[in-house]
Amino acid sequence: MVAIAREYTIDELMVVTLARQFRSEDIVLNGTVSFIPVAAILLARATHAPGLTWVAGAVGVDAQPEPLIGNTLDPTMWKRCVMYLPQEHMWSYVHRGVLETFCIRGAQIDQYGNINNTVIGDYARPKVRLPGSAGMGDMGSLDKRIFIWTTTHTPRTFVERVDFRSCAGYLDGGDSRERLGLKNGPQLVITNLCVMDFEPQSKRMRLKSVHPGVTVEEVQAQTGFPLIIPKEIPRTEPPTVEEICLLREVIDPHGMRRREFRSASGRE
Amino acid sequence: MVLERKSLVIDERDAASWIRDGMTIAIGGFINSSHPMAIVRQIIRRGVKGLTVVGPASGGLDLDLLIGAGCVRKLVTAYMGGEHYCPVAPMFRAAVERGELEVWECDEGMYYCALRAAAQGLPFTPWKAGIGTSFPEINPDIKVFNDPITGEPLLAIPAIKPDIAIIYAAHADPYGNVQHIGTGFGDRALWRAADRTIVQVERIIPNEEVRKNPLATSLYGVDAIVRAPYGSHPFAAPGYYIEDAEHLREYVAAATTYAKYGDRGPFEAYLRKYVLEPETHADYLQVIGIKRLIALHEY
Repeated sequence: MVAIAREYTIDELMVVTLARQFRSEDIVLNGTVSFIPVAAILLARATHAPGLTWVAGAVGVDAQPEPLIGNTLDPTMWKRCVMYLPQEHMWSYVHRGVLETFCIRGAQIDQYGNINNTVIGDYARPKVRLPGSAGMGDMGSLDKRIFIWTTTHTPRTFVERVDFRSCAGYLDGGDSRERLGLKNGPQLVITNLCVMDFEPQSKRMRLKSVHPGVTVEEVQAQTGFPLIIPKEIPRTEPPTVEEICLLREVIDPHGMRRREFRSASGRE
Repeated sequence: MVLERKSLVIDERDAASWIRDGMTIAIGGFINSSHPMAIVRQIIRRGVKGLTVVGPASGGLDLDLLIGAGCVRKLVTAYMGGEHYCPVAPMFRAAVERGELEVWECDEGMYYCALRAAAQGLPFTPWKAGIGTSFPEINPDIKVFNDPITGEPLLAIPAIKPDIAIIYAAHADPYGNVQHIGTGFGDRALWRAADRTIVQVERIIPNEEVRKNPLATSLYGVDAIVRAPYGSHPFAAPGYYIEDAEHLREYVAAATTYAKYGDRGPFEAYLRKYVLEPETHADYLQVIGIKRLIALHEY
């Protein structure tokens, strides 16, 4: 019998939920300010997915770092890796099916899982200039399994239509992604309030589970478009005692995962 | 009589004098690591204007400083942030929102396609990723075309050829053989694409040292070597030192005061203190101080 954790926080629940999506045969890379995915990758590797290959910072293959530090792209993070991946090479074999899993957050996410991290407002005269797409623009159109996470579930993040499509999700819904010859796409959206997936036909975002203390009404009110809401919405599966212990004591004892909540509120 | 090979070693002032108004230059490294800052600061001191800067695929506060100092007309990079120090580079954000900076909008894979086309002497590289995104709609240089063989839609990413690439590495011999410590990020792609390359290093090593470990050689035949110990400061240098967090926070605070409140005072003070007033790289290091520098050990 697996012991369920009695008390845990939202950041821990998000890490555990994401970790459970990774499979032992996955190759996963992480980008900038990605404490939740990095913690999830390490947690998956320490529990159900020992064969998972992590490409730290998209640079250090199968790295074995110390506990998380205040930066997810720091050279000290890819200590003891088996290989350094020159960046330009990564983009030369990214089609081969390796690196098939990618985690993305963005300033705006729409009902079809398209993501914007480029500009808010009109491109030519932006209200807010964001840092840019980094690798998400390519990854979105490369048949990858995309996991979206955000620590700011608000109507400002979840918009009906993104101002700029930095990363292709299901485009205009239905079969519009498939028609361009693009496979896979967004699998799951994990936020500080809930977990969502995509309804298979329309490809619209659908509520899957809510975190403890969160109501369905609250999720809908914090989302800038109508979600598909099935009759039964379970609570998000809680972490186990083992997962919480690993996370708190081994993987992230300094609580770096919580920085995403701070930096998110400091945004703009 | 024995003829000696010609040494390619110059100082950062000579190196910066290669950079002229309106050129396309590339700068290596990655966010908070491995930037040729001794040369970058000297470019600012010289008051170079109208540059097209091909940043690293993920640019950082090195480019932000160049933008804030008014050297840059156009920027080619896929990302401009400072990791946890700032989610978006402040002077970059301010310049774009004020309509003062042109961005060649691309994603990382597209960026490497543009460099690869230049390296191979081709007009463009075909690329599948980015289909379905807004990039081809807003970047007029990126064209959607149909593959003449299968008929499927692809993007044509045009070549971008830097006049000069400026790269930071750990070591080089005097003859232009360069050895990075660690990954080298995308520096090789910049070197392959550019007409000429200047490499700034921590240490110059004898040619015999290079020959002991040719596998470690990341670039050869570069055009000039600049020796500048602590030359990536305030950014990290794999194998030598970590980033100077306190200094980066000082920079971000100064730049953010302008980006958020329109007050250029603190940024100008930063520029004067750390860039304009120190005449050389050595003078800069003196301003930072030996205590701070030796505290930035890597392990």
